[in-house]
Amino acid sequence: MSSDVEFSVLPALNLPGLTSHQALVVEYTWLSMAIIVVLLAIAIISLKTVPGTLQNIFEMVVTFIEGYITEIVGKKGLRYFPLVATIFTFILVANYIGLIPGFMSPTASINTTAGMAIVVFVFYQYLGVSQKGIKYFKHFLGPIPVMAPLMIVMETISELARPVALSVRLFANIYGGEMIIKILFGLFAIGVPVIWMAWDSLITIPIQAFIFSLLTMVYVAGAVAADEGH
Amino acid sequence: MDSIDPKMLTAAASALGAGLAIGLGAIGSGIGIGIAASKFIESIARQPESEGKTRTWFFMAYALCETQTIFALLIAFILLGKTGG
Repeated sequence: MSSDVEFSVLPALNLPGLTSHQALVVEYTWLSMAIIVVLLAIAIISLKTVPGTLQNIFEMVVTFIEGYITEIVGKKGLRYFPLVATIFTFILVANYIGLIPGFMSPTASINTTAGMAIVVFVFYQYLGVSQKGIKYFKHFLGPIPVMAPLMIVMETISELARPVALSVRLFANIYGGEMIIKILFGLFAIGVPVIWMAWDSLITIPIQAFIFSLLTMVYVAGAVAADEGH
Repeated sequence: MDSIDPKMLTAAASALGAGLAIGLGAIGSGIGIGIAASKFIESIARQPESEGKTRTWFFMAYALCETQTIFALLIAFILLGKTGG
């Protein structure tokens, strides 16, 4: 995507078949996964009845995600908690490390976000087919039999548009945010970029992580829901 | 009369089209998110205890409104690829 040489703390490894930018994306993806694993390991080793700071933060995240899953699909949605929680924490950490100077967000690359969106797409299509069988494809035909030839085209297009919109939404928000920070640093060296970074870290990043996991939950719920018209 | 290089014309039209696509595409979702947010605040003001329930649905509406701009952005990116710059 970007051809200019970027400043990075991690050296760009020489991975076969990848440009140096793509290699950096892979490295920072691994870095954000490592951060999540290490933080979780520290929190799990020292579990207490009266939680400390780190355990408090994780308990807050878990309660929050459980809260909105039960809000949308009810108690049976908690079965898909691991997927939703993984997506939420990964996007959150991956977005935040991009704000540290010298680091970059893996989510500012369309490859990372499209990868996650495809995983979600395949997962909920599989769930729908495995739970409802051939009846799953009935909702592609629409409610009225006469309209079926028209509806099957429209429903297929709108189904295929979901992963595209899901991946481009996250990518465009994070990439756009980084671009604006770069431009602001060119215009004003001190002060003003920090205001935008604060906006980014307080509003854009949590909301994008929230929306990606929320839509994952909604799509999964729509695929497994009982037929009652929609 | 000197003729215009068709390559230059394509590049200029693509750049113009990219700007128009994202600019006009953002109008609709701007209005849509504005309406959603104003109703959200209205409902919180009327029933403060409903905030937790309405917040989730507000973000759903926000994401759905935003989708239009995202497709406009995709078209803008495709057009920018044709400018050859």
